Amino acid sequence: MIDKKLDNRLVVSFSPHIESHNSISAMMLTFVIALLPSVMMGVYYFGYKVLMILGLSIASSMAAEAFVNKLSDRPSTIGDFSAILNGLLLGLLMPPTMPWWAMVVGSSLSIIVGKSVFGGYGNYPLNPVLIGWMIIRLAWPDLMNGFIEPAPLFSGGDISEALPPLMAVKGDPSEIGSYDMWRLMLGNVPGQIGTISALSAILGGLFLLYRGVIRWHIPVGVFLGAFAFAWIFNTINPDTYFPGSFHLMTGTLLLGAFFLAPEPVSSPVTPGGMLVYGLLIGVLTVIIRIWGSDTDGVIQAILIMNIGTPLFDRIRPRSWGVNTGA
Amino acid sequence: MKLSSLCKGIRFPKPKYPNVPTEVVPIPSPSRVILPMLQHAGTPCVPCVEKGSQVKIGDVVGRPQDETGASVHASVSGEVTDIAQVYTSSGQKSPAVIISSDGKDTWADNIKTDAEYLEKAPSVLIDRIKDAAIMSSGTEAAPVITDLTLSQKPRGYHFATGLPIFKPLDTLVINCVDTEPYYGAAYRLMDDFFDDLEAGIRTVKIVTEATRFIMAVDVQHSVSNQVRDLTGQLEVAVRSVDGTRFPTGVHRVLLKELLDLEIPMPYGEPRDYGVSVLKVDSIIDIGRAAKHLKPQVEKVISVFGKGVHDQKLVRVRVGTPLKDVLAACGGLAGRPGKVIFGGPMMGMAQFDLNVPISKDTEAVYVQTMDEVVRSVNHPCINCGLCVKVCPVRLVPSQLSKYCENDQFQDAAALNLMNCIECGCCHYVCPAKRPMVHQFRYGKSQVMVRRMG
Repeated sequence: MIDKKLDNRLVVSFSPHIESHNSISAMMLTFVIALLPSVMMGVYYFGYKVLMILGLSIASSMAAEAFVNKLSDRPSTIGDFSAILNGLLLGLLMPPTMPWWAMVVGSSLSIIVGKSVFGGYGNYPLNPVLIGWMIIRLAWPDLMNGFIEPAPLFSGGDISEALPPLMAVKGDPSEIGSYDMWRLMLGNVPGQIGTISALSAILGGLFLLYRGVIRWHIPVGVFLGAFAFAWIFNTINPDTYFPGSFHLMTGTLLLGAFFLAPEPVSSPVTPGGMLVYGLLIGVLTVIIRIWGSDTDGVIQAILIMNIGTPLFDRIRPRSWGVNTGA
Repeated sequence: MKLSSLCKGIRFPKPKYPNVPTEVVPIPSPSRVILPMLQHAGTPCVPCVEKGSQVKIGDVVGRPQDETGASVHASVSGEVTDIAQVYTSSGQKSPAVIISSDGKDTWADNIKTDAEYLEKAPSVLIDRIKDAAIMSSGTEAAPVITDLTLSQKPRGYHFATGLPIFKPLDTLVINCVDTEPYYGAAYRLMDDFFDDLEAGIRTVKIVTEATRFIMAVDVQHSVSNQVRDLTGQLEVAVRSVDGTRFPTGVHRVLLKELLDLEIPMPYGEPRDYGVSVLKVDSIIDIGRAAKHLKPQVEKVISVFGKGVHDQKLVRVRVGTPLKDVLAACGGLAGRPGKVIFGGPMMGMAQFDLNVPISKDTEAVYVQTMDEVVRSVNHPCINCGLCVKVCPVRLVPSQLSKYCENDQFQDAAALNLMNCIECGCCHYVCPAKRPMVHQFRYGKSQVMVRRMG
């Protein structure tokens, strides 16, 4: 029978009375897991040294997060994996020769300047990973170009300087013949730690899509924008302009389309907005690659489009009965 | 049978507790019933009995003041012991007639079976339905008779001529989908009260001018042969909808799925579009009213959740205190957390177990203290999951930011009023933002400002 004492102790609240198991930390953890293939390919081609870079980046991100939490007297947000993801992504965008001090400075500044000054996770206008990347890029541009020839683990090759595909073909368009699809897929090319292998980024992206952490609109928008825009110019003059497939497979484009552009806080929420946002990132990337001074351009394109996110969010789905008249 | 699918809303996981039993059990007649005069949205009824008067089942104890209400009938026979202020299940205070049962359960003299009810004129049947005071469930409680007859008030005026517009009723939808998953009641009713269902559909076909009848059933339950034969015979189209995807059973969402009809809130009603939706239990009550002249004094409700010992589909008298219903289901299990009228997504948490079962109660859901969720309200992380699930295609994340910062006019401009409060956005939110709560507050503020 019902206990008389408990009669008055019922919880009363608004509906709904159940919640899904989804949470911020679960989303961030999914992102981290999806990045593991890229980490593995980076380690395979550039050696164990990259683990130190990634570890330092993650550690300084977390330290900066803890420091800011302490300073602003807020509950600790270390446990929600967002600082870990921030550090990991920033590390993957670095060339394998990045010195430790630049990594520490860039990673902690990305948290402090990119994220915490705006009020922590959920409030910043621009992707903090890209803010960190831009800080290092502007402060020490030479360090960002420290690319080396990949040497698979246990092969014992020497470390020699080399140019990543996009830089090489910008200097000499005929170089494009030396990059076949399979090589770009696996990532046996010079480049940033996490962006060399197209296959690992695709695997991670499919995992994110499967878990429902990101929606298809942004990646598809980026691919479509980049491919279509590159295709137009490639059709006009195949000698100077590279085919769309080459643009998709090289540089940060795949990692950007799956991990950087759909970053929840700085990307739009509406389906239409996400698609336009993705398309414009794709188009802008190819514009920068063709006519810009930078050879990659994905990060700059995403940063610029992040600014427009509130505008893209104005492309709303039509709600019920609006403009139809009863 | 066409299988349509709403690509919105939430597909629920199978419940962790054992499924709701598939048999309707009547619970013992309560020793005392509380009959609130306010069991509908609108003005309360006026008690028409005195303290101490003797009543039988079906006697009128409260009369409505206007068309928004309907009479209140005694649901047990006995003596009126008190007329007092009580809390109703929606948290409002209302005068109520409290009757002590004499245990005999005698029906009023005017309740008799009319075998020739089908030969009666529509107006006679309409009066019977009106007198039976059947309340619609699944939406705001209103007398079902308003869904069946042409409304007296024009729904609008022609923009050029200024003539009033009446939209004739052409489609009547019988909703056999549970409002929320896990109820498990709606499809049982079809078979357990088959005779009343048949009488109900026949009556509805006589009294309305509708030409198209659709019965919406849940794909996860198969329709029995007798119901299939009946619908074939009466030319009622049976359409399957995906009831596992919440909120398919909510009237407005069901119409979107069946007829691709989008009815805006709060000024749009299905009747404006020539459509009516009736829950299957209302149809059964209509059948009883037409054939047996019985008013709505009973209700089949589903009692479920981890917090109750025996999950049951129970047949209870209107006005039975919640305590008695829970006691008939073996009492509360574990440490009780929330007792909710309705389901986990749209239900109303109760603070008092003396609240009576009212005419629009569909289910009682009991949570243990361990199951009670505590929202943290993290800032919105802009993930867009709420936009993905919103069945009325709003942008809940943006609306929630507006409501949080008192920007109610901006929220109204983004169609805040269209929200059906289904709770899908809160359910999926990784930041656990209490969006339904914010929207309710925002809507009330918008209404206050509109009225000046």
